[in-house]
Amino acid sequence: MIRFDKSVLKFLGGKEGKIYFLHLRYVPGPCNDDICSPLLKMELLESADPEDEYVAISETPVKIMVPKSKAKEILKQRGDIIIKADRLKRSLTISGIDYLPLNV
Amino acid sequence: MPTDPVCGMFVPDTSDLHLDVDGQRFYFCSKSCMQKYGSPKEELKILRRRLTVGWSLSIPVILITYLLSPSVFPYRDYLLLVLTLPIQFYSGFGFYEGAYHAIRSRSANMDLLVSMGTLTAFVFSTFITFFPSTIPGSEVFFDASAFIITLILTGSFIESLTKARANSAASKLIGMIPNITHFQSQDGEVIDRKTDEIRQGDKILIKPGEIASVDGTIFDGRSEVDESMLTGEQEPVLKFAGQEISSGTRNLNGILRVTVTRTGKDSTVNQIYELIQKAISGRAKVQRIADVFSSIFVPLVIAAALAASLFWGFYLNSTGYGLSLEIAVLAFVSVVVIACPCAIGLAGPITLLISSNVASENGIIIKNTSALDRLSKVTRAVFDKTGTLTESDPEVVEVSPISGITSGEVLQLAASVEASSNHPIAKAIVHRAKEQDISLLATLELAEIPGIGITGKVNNREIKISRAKREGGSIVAVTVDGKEAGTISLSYKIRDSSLTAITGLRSMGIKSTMITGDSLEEAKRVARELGIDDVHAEVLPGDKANIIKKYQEAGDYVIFTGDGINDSVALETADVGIAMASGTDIARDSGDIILLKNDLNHVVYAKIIGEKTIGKIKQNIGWAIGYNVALIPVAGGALVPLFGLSIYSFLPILAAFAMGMSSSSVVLNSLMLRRKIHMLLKPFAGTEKRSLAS
Repeated sequence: MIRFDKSVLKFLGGKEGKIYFLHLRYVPGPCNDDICSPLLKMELLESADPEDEYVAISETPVKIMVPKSKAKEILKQRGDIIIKADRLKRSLTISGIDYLPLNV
Repeated sequence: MPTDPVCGMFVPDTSDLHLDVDGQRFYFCSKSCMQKYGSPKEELKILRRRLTVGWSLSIPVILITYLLSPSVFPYRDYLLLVLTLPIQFYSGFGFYEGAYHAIRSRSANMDLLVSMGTLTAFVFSTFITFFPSTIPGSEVFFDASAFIITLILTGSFIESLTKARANSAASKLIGMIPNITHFQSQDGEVIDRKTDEIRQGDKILIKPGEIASVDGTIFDGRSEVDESMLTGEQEPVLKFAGQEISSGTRNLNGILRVTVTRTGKDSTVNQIYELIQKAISGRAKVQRIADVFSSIFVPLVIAAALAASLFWGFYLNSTGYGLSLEIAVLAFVSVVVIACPCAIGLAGPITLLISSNVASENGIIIKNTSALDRLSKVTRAVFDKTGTLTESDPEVVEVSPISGITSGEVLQLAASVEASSNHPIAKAIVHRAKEQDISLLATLELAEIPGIGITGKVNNREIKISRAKREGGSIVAVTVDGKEAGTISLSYKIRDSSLTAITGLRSMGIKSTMITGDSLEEAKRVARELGIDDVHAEVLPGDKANIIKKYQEAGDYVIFTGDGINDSVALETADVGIAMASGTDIARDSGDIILLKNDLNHVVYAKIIGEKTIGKIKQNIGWAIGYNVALIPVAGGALVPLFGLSIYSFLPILAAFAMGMSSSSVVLNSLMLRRKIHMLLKPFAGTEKRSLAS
């Protein structure tokens, strides 16, 4: 289930219908080890990564698009996905996706 | 952008530093990472050399520090500096290299902490050596700097040895593949060739006692084959022409001639190896806590180290304590050295690697490790019927001649006509005839009518085989020149393991459901025999996924077990898709978990493995976080009120010892998972006919 925090509507200022794309980044973990896996960072950006194909997981008030290859895994987690506005960064943040394996 | 498989740094795909392994290209940020990946044995050799230098110089350093007073030998500190230099810059080189890469990729890692700790101790001591009067009364602590490096390297060395054990099943599997294969040329000559020179379509020979180096289809020969290395099944399987043989299986007693179908990275053994290795990059939900902790860990530790250092510096200075700077430095060094992000980082991946290895030893291939999490929540197990709960092909149960003809003749006529058909019923009839050594007769004017049967002329007689479904299987009517000659009854045998698996799942509180395209009567018959809770019969293949979705909407977590290729949508829809391997091409099979052996008890095994794995990851993460939370304050000086400032004379070394051992303890604790799972699965082994619940 996707929930939008009240801050999102304020952030949008009435301009609904915007499209945000989930970008995934893997950053090196704190352990320099061939078994230690990289850490996943998630960002919602207004532009799409040309290397990915996207599908929508929500339509209103903001259309949230996620990489097609990860969509099934996101939905299977059955987590509460929460979208909030980060005023400092002037962007939306996403939480509630616990893990997305690299190999899915 | 590709990432360095060793240190995780992003590397442009234009980089010259790359290695091609089994057709896949890996990019590296540095030569050392490339070497680490390409030749792990060489890497271990280097680690051993650095360790030898570390220990052979650290012991004299500590002896000189505590036994030789500067008043006896005024050049003691210079001697210590000379002895510490090789440890600092040769033995410790790997830490600086790792720290450099971390800074370059704007991240912070364990190497950064170790580098900061040892360099602080070393630089401070060097300064005191050359300018002793600047801080009167201050001592050098080259011993701390040397021992930190040596002890942490020792921890890494123990860790790398135990990690090799974690991956033992996968390594054993890949190590078994022979380097030489007997290639058969077109004129029949057999030449020994390197296995990596063998190509798809080549003909090869596998002698008794040898392990198949590639996958293929047998075109000549008959032999028993030991598949235990892949499936865990101890009983050999009889293989003959037309059947497939997988790499990694052992030919026991006959010569097999094989047409190669898959080699190198496409072969079964390599596919299994790759899937096991991928487990490391997989994730369990619980690891999110570790990820959050890891991502803020290093900056937090540096902040804590600075805070402890500043506190002791200012506080001791205000009390007039003469060595406040020395204690401040030692507090900083102790905190950065005792903190161990590696234990947290390793907790999940090493457990997943061990769990995947143990599963593969039992013929269970975990393709998607995140499914292990969901396995622990499963409330309903849905099974496909044909090929899952029952055997995929029917078998002849009875041949009933009508009059003036023997059952052998009915079978001979039917098999002769059916020999050209690919229908499962036809295959079963031909198989039974071959089993009874009945020779097949030449057949003319063959005509197969889909859904009805097949006709043909044998010895000038018109033979017609009509296939009809009935409860429990199929019945075939054989007519000769328009007159009924007999019937052949066929049945889909329920797998021996179906009953024990369903009973076992029920004992875990999991409800069972069967979905089938067969008639309701046939579905009910199987459900009755197996004690299945819910039945969906006469379901179109595409509707299986919809039924699963309905259960999910009702709140169930669903495992679906079915065929790896035909049930792909249902397998993808279920919370955990378990596919019975459809052949040798595991990579093609859908699903989160692949069962190499057609034994449904492995669904129960998978559930046990999933639960125990998640439990172990939680235990490891708890231990690793607990270790850091408890010991960082100790290193920061929490025990000073009890034991006084003198504890700082040995705290940095103790910190290095604790840090060096913490990662190894995580690996060792994870290795216990192997024994635990084996112990839990042991009662089930060889008890297919016994109820799991009892």
